[in-house]
Parts: sequence; C-alpha cells; structure tokens
Amino acid sequence: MARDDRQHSHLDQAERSVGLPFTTPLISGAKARLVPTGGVELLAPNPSGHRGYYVMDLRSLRDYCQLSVHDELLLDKLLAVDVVTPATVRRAAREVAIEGAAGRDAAAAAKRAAERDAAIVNLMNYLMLMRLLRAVGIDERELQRSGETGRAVQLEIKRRLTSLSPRLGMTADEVIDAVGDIAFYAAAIGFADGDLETRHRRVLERLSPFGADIRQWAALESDDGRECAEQIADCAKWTSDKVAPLIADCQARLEDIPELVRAWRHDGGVLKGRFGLPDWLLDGWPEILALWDSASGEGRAAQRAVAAQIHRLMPLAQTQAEGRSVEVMQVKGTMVHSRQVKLHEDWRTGVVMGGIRARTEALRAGVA
Amino acid sequence: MGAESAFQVLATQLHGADDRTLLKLVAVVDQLARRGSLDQLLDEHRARLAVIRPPRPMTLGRLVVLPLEELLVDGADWTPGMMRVPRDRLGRLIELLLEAFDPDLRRRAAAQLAGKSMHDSAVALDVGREIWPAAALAADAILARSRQTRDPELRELLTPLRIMQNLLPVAESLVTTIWALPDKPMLALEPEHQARIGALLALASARGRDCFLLTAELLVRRTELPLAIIEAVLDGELELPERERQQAAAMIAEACQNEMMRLFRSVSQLPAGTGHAALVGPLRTLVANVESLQEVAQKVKFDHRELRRLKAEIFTLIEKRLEAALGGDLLQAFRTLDEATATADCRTLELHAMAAANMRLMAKRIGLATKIDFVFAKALERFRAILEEGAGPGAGPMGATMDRIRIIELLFDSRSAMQSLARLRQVAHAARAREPA
Repeated sequence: MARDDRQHSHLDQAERSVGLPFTTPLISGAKARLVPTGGVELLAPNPSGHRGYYVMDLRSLRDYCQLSVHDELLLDKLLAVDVVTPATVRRAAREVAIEGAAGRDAAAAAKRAAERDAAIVNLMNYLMLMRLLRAVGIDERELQRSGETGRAVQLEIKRRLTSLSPRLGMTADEVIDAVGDIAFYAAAIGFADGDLETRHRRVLERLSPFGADIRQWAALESDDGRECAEQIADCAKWTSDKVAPLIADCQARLEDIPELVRAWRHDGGVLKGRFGLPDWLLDGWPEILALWDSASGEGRAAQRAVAAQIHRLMPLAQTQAEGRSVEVMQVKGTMVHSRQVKLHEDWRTGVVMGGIRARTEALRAGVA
Repeated sequence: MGAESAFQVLATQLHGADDRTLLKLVAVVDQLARRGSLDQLLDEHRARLAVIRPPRPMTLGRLVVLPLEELLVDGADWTPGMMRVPRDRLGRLIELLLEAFDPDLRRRAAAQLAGKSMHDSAVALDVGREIWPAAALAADAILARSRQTRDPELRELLTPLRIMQNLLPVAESLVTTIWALPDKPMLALEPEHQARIGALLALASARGRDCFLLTAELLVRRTELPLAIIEAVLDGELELPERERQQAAAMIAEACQNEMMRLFRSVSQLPAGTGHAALVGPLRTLVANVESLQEVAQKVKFDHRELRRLKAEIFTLIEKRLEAALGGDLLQAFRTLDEATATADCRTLELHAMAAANMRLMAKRIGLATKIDFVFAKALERFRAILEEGAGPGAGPMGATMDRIRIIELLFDSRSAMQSLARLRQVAHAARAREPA
C-alpha cells in the first residue's frame, strides 16, 4: 500500500478517535474510538505507564477505576450524546466544566470559550450571508448602512435571498439553513483572507514551532526520552502537513459561497466530512501545546514527565499513520481494578496523584 | 532615598506583590552585580518563587553552583562545619572563585551566557564543562592559601569550598544524572536511573572518599531514597573494598537520619495555624526517607530504635494536625464558603483539602491506617451536615454547592462526594414533588 493510501485509511470514519478530557489520573489521555458497528469504545492508556491501551466499552468505565466527580458527570453526558465527535465531546466537557466540577477557573474559562465560539459561529454565518449577497450582485453595504440590527436585518436578508431562489434552486429558508450549517463547521476554519483568529488556525500556526522546540529539547535526552520526543515532533509535523492543505481546500470552497451552498444541499455528507476533518486531526493538540507551555518554566525532570504525558495524548490516527503500531489490549472482567485503584493514589506506587489531577484541571481551564 | 529606606520600600513591595509583580522585582534584583542583603529578602519568598518559577538569567555564579543545588540550605539553618552550602554566603563564595579564574575564560564564558536563562540546559552544559573544572582548581588554590587564615568570614567558607573542591570535578556527570532523574516523589527507581546513579558513584569513588560520600549524600537529597543509594553503594561496581562500602553505607544512613531529625524538629515547631500545603513537602520527605531506611535496616548498621521513635512521632504529628484542621480551620472555611467567596480563597481551600488528603495517605503508610480513617469518617459527617444545610431545597449542583462537593471529593474521595451529590438531588427532587402544582 502506498504511503498516502495508508495515511488516508487512518482517516476513515471508523478509525477516528477523540480525546476525552477526563481528570482522573488513571484515564487521563483516554480516547473514544468509533467502531465500524456504530458503537464507541474507550481506549485507556496502559496503567503500568508502558505503551499500549486497554480497550473497553465506554459504559463499563465505572468498573475500571474510581472516577472523579467531574468524570462521573462527563461520562453521563457522553453516554447520552447521539454521535461522539470532537465537537460533541467539547460541548459535553464544557457543560460539565461550567457546572464547576473542574473548579472555578475551568468553569469561567469554559463559559468564556462557549460564548466566544458561539459568537464566532454567528459572525461567520453573517459574513457568509454578506458574501453570498455580494456574489450574486447585491450590495451588502446597503444592509450595513441601514443601521438595523438582529431580526430586522435577518428579515431583510431573507427578502433579498428570495429573489435568488430560482438561481440557487433553493428557497430562502433553505439557503439560510444551509449557510447556518456551513458556518458551524467553517467557524473554526475562517476565510483565507479573513482576520478572524479561528481555532484551527491558532493551533496550526503553533505546530511547527512546537515540533522544532521539542526536537531541540530532545537533543539532551537519553535514548528512550529522545525517541519519545521525536515521535511527538514527527506527529506534529504529520498533522501540520495534513491539515494545512485541508484547510486551504475548505477556504477555497468558501470563496464561492453560492456554489458551496448548492453543493452542501446535494452532497452535504461529503462536505461535512471534509470541513469536519481538521477538527478530528487537530483534536488533542490544544491540550498538548498547553501542556508543553506549562512545562516551559520547569526543570528537566518535570519536562520529561510532561513529554511522557504528551506521548499518551497523541492522537491515534497520526501515530498509526506515522507507521507506528498502537498496541491495544482487551479488558476482561477479571482485569478490572475497581476495588484496588483509589482516586488519589497511583495503584503501582502509592504516590499521591492530587498534583496530576490539579494540573489536568488547570489545563482544562487553559484550553476550554 | 537612603539605602536603608530603599530596602524597606522593596521589602514592603515584595510582601504585598502579586505573582507578576514579584517576578518583575526578582528580575530587577537578578540584574544587580552585588546583591548582598537583597538575597535575604528573597529568602523569605523562596517557597512562593519555587511555585511560580521565574526564569532566572544564567550567570557565571549560578552556573558554578548548579551542580551543588541539592546541598544548598538557608543561612539560618547552617552551622560552620556542616557539609552543606549556605545560601547567604554564596555571593562571597562565588566572588572568591571568580577572582581566581583566568580573565579570558571568565569573559568568554560570561559572553556565552549573556541573555540565556537557567532553563537553557544545553548552554549550561557547554559552558559548565569549561568552568566547573576551573572552579574546582580555584577552590583548591583558595583552600591551600587559607588553611591557617584567621579571617572569620573566610574560615566559615572553608567547608563550602571543600565541598566544591570535591564535587566540581564530577560536576558534568552530577548535573546530567540529576537532570535524568524523575521528579520527587519517586519511591522506586527505574533500572536506567539506577545504572546512572551507579556510574556516578563509581566515578566519584575513583576521585576519593570525600567526593564519593558527598556525591552519595547529594543523591539522597535529590531522590529521597536512601535505600536506592545505599544499595548502589553496597552492590555497585565501585573502587572501594567491602568494609569501606559498609562504612560508607552506614554513614549515609546516619547522615540521612540526622537530617530527618533536624527536619522533623523544624516541622514540629511550625505554629498551629501553618497551612497544610506548607507542611506537605517536608512531611513527604520524612515519610519517604523513613520508609526507605526501614527497607535497608537489615543491611546497614544505624540506630534502628531512633528510627522507630521518629516514625511514631511523625505519625502523631500528622494525626494531631489533621484532627485540628478537620475540626477547626478547614471545617470553618468550608462552612463560610459561598458564591461570594473570592476564587483565590476557594483555590486556597482546595489546596488545603488536597494537602490534608495527602497527609492522610502519608500517615497510613507509617502508622495505624484505621486510626486515621476514623478521624476522616467522623469529619465526613460534619462536612456533609454543612453541605446539606447550605444547599437548601431546590438548589442545583451549581456555584458554592459544587465548590463544596469538590472540597469533599478532595478531602475524602469522589465516592463520598458523589453520594453527597446524589443525596442533595434526592432532597431537591422531593421538595419539588411536594410543591403545589
């Protein structure tokens, strides 16, 4: 199989995984994986600290270890969602954080992030409608000059779009719905010529410097540490190489809104997949970047621990596409540690885990 | 403004400073060529600085001292002859050493360090390779000419100079080994780390007994695992005969025990209101060392009875502090916690709760687990009563209620917290059911 084909196969829907922001140390770095039959499996990092994952049904997580209150509430929400995607996981995690289960800082940050994302989606929606009007020869500046806001502008846009219905082959309501749908996906991408600091652009811009930084750091590490750091840098590069053209392609489509709206109506599934793919590929990277930032002022020992944590967080698709295997072990009933594994304590050493959890919560506040 | 009043102003500013201002003030102090009593000012804030970790500029002086960091102690804790380096004399010590440097080397090294911070490990190692041997030679020369000195200030520096004379020749290996080790607490070392420690001790033993003992002591400080170091001394490939190995192991164990007793005295003298977060670090060191020394008790001669006594005293101290906290200040802060409580105060309370939970685990490792569990079981009832009182009918798991749930989770465990949350929801549900339609 050619390398490109193999990479592509790892991006199939059935192979995708989403990082789950659990705060319980034993399952920190766990991922949800969609399985071909339609269910969701949980991949929990090997508790021994070595490579590999334990795979289990998401519903049996409570049997595996004692969960923090935050994770209990998050699990309830995850079990209730129809489809597990980076967006649905993000929404569930934000709702739990806003309740205060990860502390006040995380609650405030999640609230801000939810408001910011909603505002960006609204703005994107508005900008797309303006571009659509401009594309079909209507001067959108008239709308802005009219000084009206909210509902009145919406009605005016709808009135003008009605005249476009025959050209687009859609009613005004259908156009508005389609644009709203696209805006939800495109808000993280933005226009090629736009100044909007979108979520994907923010992460993408930081991947290459991060890779270079971690390679430089690895130079003084021993063999194992260096290998681990180089894998992280390789994955960052792979992700950046893969996502940049995807985003450019989506931005090119956003240049021709009428065509995009028409195509969205006829082939919405494929386009949703294309616009949603960067979200899957960049999943987990904001946490990784924030973790590395948090370690910048620490000693080498702490940085090494963070590098190991990042290694656990690396997205599976990238790891596999880099030609590395992901060892997966099925959890049987006899292997469950629920009676032995305490929340505050590392089951192997008895080391108090409160610090790790506090750090995860602080991270949640940083990347909400 | 006179020097004294300027000093007072700076002291006041440091005391009232938030983290960002404190970092700015430290950066200003760092720029000064002569810091003198300003170092004492910073001493008071070292615990806080350790948490916010400012990026300190790399200077020749800092780099010379880097390999000895584990042996640095506060000036107040140091007595002449003690095999440690007092922080408040570091300035004079570095001045003496640098005066003895070749001016060319000094200039070149200073130029290489310009603009770098202590986090630039590669630069530290590069420049260190040149200046550590030079500093060791300088220490040699100063010691040779100062043996009979009557200058009291210089006499006090003789022990730190001897430490430098012995350790700086193996500085590169020391620094890279220390970097390679994981963060504390370790409780066990990976084979890779054991091998590095073995290699360092072998190198130190080849340079003589003093170098070897100091290296071993430094490693005990860094790992808090006397067991791992003593095992490496007893079983490693060292250029020492068996009898000397036994003696060295016994000396390390004894030094470790003395250090623990000193640390225990200072911890037990802390006033009753001292925050638990400040107690956790020293207590963790004590518990880790006690456990480690117990494991090595069969192999090495030292005062076992003293160790047992110390262990019992540590347990009693933790138990008393926990009882006082769970029935006193922690409970009171939990009671007064509400939506209006500042986020910073809420975070402090969480830190105290986490520290108390840590102390519980420590106590269980060295004493009677059921005794400590009983203290916590009684406390849980009191905390739950306050939670249910404060939630009231109809209140959801938001705001102060969730803050309180988090405190219960941190102090006790998530199962207790989830039970409390479920109970609150039941009460709220029942209250809603009773309301007229």
